[in-house]
Amino acid sequence: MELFTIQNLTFTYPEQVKPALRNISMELKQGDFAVLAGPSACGKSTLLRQLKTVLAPHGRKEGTILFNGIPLDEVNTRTQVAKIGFVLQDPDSQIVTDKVWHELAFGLESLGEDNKTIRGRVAEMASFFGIQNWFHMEVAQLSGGQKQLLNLASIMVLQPDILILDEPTSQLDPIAATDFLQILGRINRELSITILICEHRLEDVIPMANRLLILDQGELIADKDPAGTFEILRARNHSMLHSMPTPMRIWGSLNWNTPCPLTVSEGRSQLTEWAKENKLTSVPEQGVKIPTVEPCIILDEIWFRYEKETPDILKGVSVKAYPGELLCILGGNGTGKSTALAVLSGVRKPYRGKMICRAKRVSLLPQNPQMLLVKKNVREELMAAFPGKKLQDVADQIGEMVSLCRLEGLLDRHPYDLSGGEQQRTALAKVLLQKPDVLLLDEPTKGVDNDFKLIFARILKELTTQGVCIIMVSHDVEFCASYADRCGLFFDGSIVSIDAPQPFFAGKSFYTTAANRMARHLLPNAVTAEDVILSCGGETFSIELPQRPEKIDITPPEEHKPRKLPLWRKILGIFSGCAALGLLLYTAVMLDLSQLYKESGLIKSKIWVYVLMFALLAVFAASISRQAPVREQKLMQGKLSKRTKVAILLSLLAIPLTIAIGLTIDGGRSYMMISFAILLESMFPFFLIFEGRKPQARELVILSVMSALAIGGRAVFFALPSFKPVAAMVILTGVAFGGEAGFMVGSMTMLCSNILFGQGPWTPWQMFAMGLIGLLAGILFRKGLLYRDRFSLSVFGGLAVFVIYGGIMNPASVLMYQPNPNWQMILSAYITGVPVDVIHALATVLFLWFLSETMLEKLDRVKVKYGLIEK
Amino acid sequence: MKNESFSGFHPAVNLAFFAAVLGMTMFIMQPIYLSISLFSSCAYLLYLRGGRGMLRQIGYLLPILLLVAIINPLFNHEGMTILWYLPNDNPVTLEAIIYGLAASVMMAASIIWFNCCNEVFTSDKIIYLFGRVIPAMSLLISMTLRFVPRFKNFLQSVIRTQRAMRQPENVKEKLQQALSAFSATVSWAMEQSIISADSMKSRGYGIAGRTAYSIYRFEKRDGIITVILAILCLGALVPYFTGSMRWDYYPALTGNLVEPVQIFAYLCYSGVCLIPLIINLMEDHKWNSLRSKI
Repeated sequence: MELFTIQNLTFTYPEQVKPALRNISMELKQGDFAVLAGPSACGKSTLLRQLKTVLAPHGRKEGTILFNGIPLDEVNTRTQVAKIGFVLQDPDSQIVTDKVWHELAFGLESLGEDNKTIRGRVAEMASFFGIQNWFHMEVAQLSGGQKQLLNLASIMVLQPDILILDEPTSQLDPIAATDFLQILGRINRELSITILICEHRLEDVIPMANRLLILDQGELIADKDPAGTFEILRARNHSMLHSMPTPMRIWGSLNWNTPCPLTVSEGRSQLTEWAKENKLTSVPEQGVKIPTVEPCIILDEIWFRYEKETPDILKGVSVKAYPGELLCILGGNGTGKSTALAVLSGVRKPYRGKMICRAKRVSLLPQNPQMLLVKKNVREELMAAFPGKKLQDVADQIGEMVSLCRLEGLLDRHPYDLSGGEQQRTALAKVLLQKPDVLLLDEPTKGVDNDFKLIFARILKELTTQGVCIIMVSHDVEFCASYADRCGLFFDGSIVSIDAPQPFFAGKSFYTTAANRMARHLLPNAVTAEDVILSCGGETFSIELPQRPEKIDITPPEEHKPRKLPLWRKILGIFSGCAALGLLLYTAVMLDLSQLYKESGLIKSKIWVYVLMFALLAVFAASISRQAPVREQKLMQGKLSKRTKVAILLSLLAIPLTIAIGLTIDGGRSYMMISFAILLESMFPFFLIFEGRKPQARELVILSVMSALAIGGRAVFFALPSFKPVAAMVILTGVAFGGEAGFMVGSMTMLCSNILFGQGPWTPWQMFAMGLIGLLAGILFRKGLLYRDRFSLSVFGGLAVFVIYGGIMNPASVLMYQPNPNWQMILSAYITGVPVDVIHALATVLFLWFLSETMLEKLDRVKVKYGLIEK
Repeated sequence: MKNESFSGFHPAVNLAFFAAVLGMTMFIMQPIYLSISLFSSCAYLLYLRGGRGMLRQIGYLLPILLLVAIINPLFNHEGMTILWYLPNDNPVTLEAIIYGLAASVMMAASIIWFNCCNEVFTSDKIIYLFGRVIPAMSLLISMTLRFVPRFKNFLQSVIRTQRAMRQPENVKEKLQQALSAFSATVSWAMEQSIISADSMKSRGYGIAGRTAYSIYRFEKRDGIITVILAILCLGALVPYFTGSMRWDYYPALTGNLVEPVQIFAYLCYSGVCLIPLIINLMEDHKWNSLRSKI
């Protein structure tokens, strides 16, 4: 029975001429295990996403997709959700809730199943996957493999007919990846669920698959069983041949007349048979190179642990690394490889042992290249390596690097629009611009396909010829065997053996390459597929890589510059700013706390100072703020939504009513009760309206991401109390997504941060104060009173924190704990609160000054991606 | 965390308990009630966190308590018993001092109750209870809590990576690095959010009629405790209905503290406040006797 029937599918992205998918026709039957492969950017993800309506990208689609004989667009969402399961690449970002059990139930909750059904299905699935032991854990405690297993399980509870997986193992280590694929095989065999998987770890999936589909430049060029597809590729001499499993490649090169071997053991027995009739030439032994130069880095019995109480991570690591070599360190997870890199890079200091470093500069390329990507395009990313320099002065260096790392044509792209391999090369270029003599690489081939590995290997080769010492930590046995100068095995906190690749892998029985496992009984020194092929007298495939370009022009296209401020505004700004600052200092110095308790003495004499200060600040803000370009302004501004208006109106109605009622009860002295009621009443309309309109997934995600960033951002500045980015993030949310979103993020941030750091009677007050700041930012921006530039945002931020947050939280501290408050108490709370408020305001100003413009650009990008606004 | 028996009860029971004690602590300013509340909250926190955790909390609270206690007599000059005069000729009264003390006891008790609440009332309980009434917001909380540790990890590894490339030499560079790390985290988080939204849509978020699953079941013992709690609360509030709850600090300390009906109410109130501790001690005792039989 056909589950999916695709006929003549052609798909073109918006504003593109060339279709991403061209004339694709295929069928998927019940129980199929189909593997989709192809060079990167060939349209694999695009094709998979066409098979579920909610995930299908925008664009022009021709042709038909039938699901169980019905056009997919006519199959209702509920059926699609349950019957078509989709697992994405990154295990982490697919998980949306904080508890394992909640994540498992998420899909069933959406479908509106009752508690009993959900309990039954979740229990069943947790048992099948062996999740029961971590059922109550928090998601953050799981390993990568467990997370991806959880994603799979949370889709399996919906009882799908087909599972579609888009590179599900690319972020996992080899053992977790193999486990994951084994479970997929089990699901296919035991439950007869159809599987369509896009995967580059072909060695593991091909033995399980009954179909291998090859996509190239949007066309389906092969759709047969693995052996049949291999034949097609061989006939075309296609570059994908290089990505096929080792036994198949050897079989293909040597033209054996046997059925195509899919596994190492099949290959091994065929090789044994073949060797009976043919003669093998032995693989020439690789001499162990004895380096003649001085080592540039020496580790001598290094011991390291993170805390005094925790166990040792490094236990006597000794290694020497020489200039001009590629030293690969292999080993399982959690053996301390990454920690060793951290010690080498100088981030961590060993507590025992000696480290001699003769290199001038040691640089580390982190496992996730995204950690280094901050700017809005690749050119600026590279420029960031030369702070304070002009483009013309460093053009030669950057041009050289662009050519070395093959970044030509990518300079104007946003780093996050690049593929994994391209991102990695960008990050590498950024690191290399620092001219390191020792380059540390942390699993650079993880999640990268074969073509990229070849280019990457070539870049590394050029670097080692230039005399750079490269130390690379990796799981990738095949890559290390092909390209390393020396390999070391890391185990239990130290390096067990270290040798040239050939003796290193030839001496091992398990931890070695597929070619070695297949041929070791006949050719003990054969380590790569090429070794085996050459010994058998065959010819290896060669792949043409594009030549390295010579001269690259890196000048950017013209950009518009903001208009300059007129002189009178500058003068006014300087004057009012200085005056406000002076007044602030005056109040700080002249403040006499002993005057506080004199009857109304302070109010009369000093209050004008504060009023004048705020007035001056307002003038300052108005005079230096610049209008954003008209186009943007139009895009973002508009009328307040009806909902926001209703919410504000409701709050305004409820507050006086409460005060009136409160005054009649208990002689108007239950301040605490009244203030608390007012708080809740002013927040409830927003919350209820938010609930009532049933927010969409993307809105929820945006709000929670903004809140989480505001809370998590504290981690950077933990050393400074009151120095937190919360208010800044809330203001930016208000400006970018509107007042209502600002209010929600403000109040949710305070609620959640108190869940983490401790609730108290202050929670509702903080929620209200922060929410109000976000709401105001949104309203003022919509009304055109607040501009999208850092001057006006910083001034607004400082004022908002000082006046609104301080203005609410200071009296709140009195209202919370003084059952019988009076004005003087509140005033004294204000004045004693000033230092804290000033620090908080200063932090907000700093944040907005340095980050508001880049941050708003980033938020706009997401809005375009979500389709919230047109580009 | 150790196996705390009260948190094993249904979240609604936990909520009812904390709402009751916090409400009564914050709204009944009568000295005996306040002392009962302070004493039981301290005892419970001692059970939950042990001696050291308890001491740390008190060390942090003490200065604030003193401040709260001092502020009242400085600004409030009501009361009959004048003790001395301030430099500005305002009187300091005994009543105001006592009132300030009472206010600081109230504050201490409510903060300590909140501390206990944080131990018992974990995020999943909050999400569960809200999930019925405000499903979208409770999901929002859950998602935020999911993202916080993730972003924090990323942020910290970015900072480590930057340090590996360049050790900051002064405060300015340190600040610049921190800001650029934050900026990198924002880009990354935004990009990740798109995948999260896809994953939610793919699993049917947005279809009408979403339900909220929970792993909690309301058992018989939850019902029993709820009834006991309700009866004890009523008992504790009896003086309020008979009018003998009245206690005034100003102009002089007036009111009765030891009427029979009040003593009955004190017992009930102690019962309310000590419920979790009693449950825990009973459970501990049960386990000890079970173990001794083996």
